[in-house]
Amino acid sequence: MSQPPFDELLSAYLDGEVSAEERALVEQQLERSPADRELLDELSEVSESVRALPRPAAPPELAAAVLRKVRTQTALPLASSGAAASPSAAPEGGRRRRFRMAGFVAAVALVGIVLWMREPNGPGDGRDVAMDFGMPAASPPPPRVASEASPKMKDAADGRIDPQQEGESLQDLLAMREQPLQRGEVLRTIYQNAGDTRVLMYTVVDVDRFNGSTQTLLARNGIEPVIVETAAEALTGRDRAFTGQNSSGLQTAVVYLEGDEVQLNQALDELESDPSIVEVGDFGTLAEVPGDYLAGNAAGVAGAAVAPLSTSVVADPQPSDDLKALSTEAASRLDAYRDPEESAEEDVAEEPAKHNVPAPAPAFAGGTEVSETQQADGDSPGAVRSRMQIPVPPETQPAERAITRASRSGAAPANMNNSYQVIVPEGDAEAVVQQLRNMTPRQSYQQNYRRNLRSAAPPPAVREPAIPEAAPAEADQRKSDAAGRVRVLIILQQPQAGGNSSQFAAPGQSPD
Amino acid sequence: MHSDQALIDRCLAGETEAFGELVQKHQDRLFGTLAHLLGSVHDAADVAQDAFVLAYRNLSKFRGQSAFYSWLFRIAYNAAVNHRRRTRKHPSLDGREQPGFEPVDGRTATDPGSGMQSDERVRLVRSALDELAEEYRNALVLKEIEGLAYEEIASVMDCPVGTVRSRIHRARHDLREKLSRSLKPSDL
Repeated sequence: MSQPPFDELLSAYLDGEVSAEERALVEQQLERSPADRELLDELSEVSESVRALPRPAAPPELAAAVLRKVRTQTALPLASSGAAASPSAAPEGGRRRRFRMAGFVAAVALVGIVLWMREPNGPGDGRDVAMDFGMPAASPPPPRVASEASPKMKDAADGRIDPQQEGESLQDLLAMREQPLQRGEVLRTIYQNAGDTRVLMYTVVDVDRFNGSTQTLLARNGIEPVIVETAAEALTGRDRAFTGQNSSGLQTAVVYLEGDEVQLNQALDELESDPSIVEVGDFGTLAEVPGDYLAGNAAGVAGAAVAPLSTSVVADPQPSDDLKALSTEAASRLDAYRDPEESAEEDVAEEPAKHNVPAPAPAFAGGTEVSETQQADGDSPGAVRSRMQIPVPPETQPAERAITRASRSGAAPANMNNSYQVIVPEGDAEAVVQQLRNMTPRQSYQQNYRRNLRSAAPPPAVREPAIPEAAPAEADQRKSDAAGRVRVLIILQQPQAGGNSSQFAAPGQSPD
Repeated sequence: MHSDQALIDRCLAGETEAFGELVQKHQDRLFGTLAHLLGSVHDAADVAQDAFVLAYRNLSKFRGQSAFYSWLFRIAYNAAVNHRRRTRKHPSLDGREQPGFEPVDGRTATDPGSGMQSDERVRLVRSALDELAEEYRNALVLKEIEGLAYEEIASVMDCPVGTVRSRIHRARHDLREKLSRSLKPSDL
């Protein structure tokens, strides 16, 4: 493990936040270095400058304003009322019912999930963030018993209302937790929105690059991501050791979005035209997501749920050689899916305009750690670059296409070994797609999936439209729902360092 | 003065006024930190009110596994981050201080070191603090203003302790540079 910079150590020393070993190191250095002693003094002065800033007192009307607001807008859910609004009080029956479906795990390298949550009443969540000092006294407080709760609260408890409309965003709910989110734990918020939640799963080659592209694209569409974070970190909070125990063996990143539904639709359509997406799985609503996926691979959902809490943006700070090797393998696998000639001449990272795909963003929006990482690492999305250094294996010429597919049989796979491969003979692409559809009836594979198989069919003259003709119902559903604002959680996952590289077995190799 | 738990119990029993006592008990500390996190007392007032209302609404979820203020502060911090994100500030073109930081009623709850810093220095420090990258500023404010330990900051910011350490260091480093540019040598 690399030693933190001495300056950083000095700052922590100033705060008494160093280990005994570090303390000895710092004091030894201070003894022999006048420059470091001077630096310590300067840091101390900076620290004192901030500590000495005046602390403004709260406005005297604050308490009265709060009371006025809680009396007019809030019915306090009593602890004895069954805690209908409590995230921890999700009815087990309902949870089990939603968990009854078989598991699902992505088999290639990287997976994205989009949780698409509609706010039933459109823009404006009715949340008044302004102080209402001086407002006239409100009507008498509503009765605070569950049976007499306001219709709005009943709706919230029944899952028909977005918590944010009650002033509780996902972040708020998470902030109220006194304990870190546990693996496998799914916040009730998710269920509250299940009916209106759209779940898409993206399998992409390079999560960093794709995420960067996502940020650029969203920015171009005027959609501001609220959060990006590695879900593994979000899931584990400060306990990073848990990262290695992720049953799916995937590292994840999360994007949390909020915006106009039409706008988001357009952005997602464009996002899905990124050729680095190996496949797009559409789960329909969250209630239809295979339950074991949630249970066995909860890092995704839990990570998405917890991500909005944090302001940090963290790529893999120091991608290990193993991870890079895995990414390289994944990249070469993608090349195998694609037409070799096309693979040879295309490089999304270097010719973004050609594909109408945004260039990889240099860092996640709003992030700081990422840019540091990139400085340190030199080239964060290493997989994309290395992809071009890998010749397309001769065995992946058009005669056969290897499609790494997710296993959905049985219980949730414990790790990536449960994935398998489907060898697609030339000309049978559509049949295989149909077969896969039958195997996974809740998934529809959209244009990207078929595009990766297009060597079996005449390549389109232009990029296929974002909403494929094969999924008119979904397209219609998307557009017919186009009203109001939606919130979107995107999770991208990639293999952890040290993951099992057999998931990237050569085309034609027998599945595990 | 009643204990937080006693006041919470009274709230849960239906005595809304008890929550008013809770607000009064914690409002100055919370508000003082929010003002520095947000760089505006007006924003701090909005966020503090939101946080208290949200806390009241979810009081039944508070299990007492942590101090009430810690729980409240997490809610408020989260609200502040979201508020700042929603109302992302753009630096004023002429470099003047953004309006709104002066205490709304001119009061100062706690004024450590008052008189030790000139008004001009306070203004410069505050301005430099507000110019820091959000994560750095937040970490530093939680450390210096709120007085949290690294472990507690990590919990509030939901990041590893190592990240906290790094952010605080970067915050101090950047602040030192900004101040050295704007302060006369005699002020340093």
